Amino acid sequence: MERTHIVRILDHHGDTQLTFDPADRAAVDDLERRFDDLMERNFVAFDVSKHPGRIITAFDPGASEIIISPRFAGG
Amino acid sequence: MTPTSDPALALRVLGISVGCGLVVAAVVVAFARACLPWLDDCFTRHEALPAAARQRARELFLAQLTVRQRRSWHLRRRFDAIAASGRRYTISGYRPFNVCTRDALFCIQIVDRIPVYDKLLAQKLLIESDEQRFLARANVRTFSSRWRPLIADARKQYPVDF
Repeated sequence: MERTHIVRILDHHGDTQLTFDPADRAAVDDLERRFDDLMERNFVAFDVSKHPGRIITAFDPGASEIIISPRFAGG
Repeated sequence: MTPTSDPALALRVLGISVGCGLVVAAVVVAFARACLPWLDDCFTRHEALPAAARQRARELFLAQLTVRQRRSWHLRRRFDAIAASGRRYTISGYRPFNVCTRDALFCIQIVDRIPVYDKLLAQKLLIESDEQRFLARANVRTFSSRWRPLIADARKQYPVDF
């Protein structure tokens, strides 16, 4: 059975949703590149497949839902 | 006019009163529920972002809350995020120092132009996922001495900006 996983990037649209099938190597590679690009810009990624979530620093195709937030700063 | 001594009539009056009370309560609840999105919109309108973006962020935010957190948000416009340590942080409407415990206020901002609900969600996720990172980054106001070593440890663990 095909499982669709989702990456949500929080942005000025609310969020941008990217869905992918973890078995699709090309899609995973593409998302991994995008993920790494965001990490270089100090975004923070949360694997929220289970509660509570966990922070991830490398793209995990096994995570069914990832939320990526812009960087945090002390107020 | 004298009070009636007829029990059947008294019961009918009581029944009608209770019924009217229930109808009024149902109308009030329905009205409040209908007003929630409008109240939320008032609450976040200053962002100058499209309404569709705010609505989308609100839906994602509510979907990511637990049942208890969602109920608390609807009723009181704040909810508790519990870190792995068991410490309970209360997150209220997004503004400076909107995260608090009983003895401290924390300010952590999200550096981008995104809807307020996205920012609240990011704060919740950070506290629940990695309290150390949260403590390392947040600006803290407290008179309690118990936070000083915790924050020092966190900043030692995460010395660089993330």
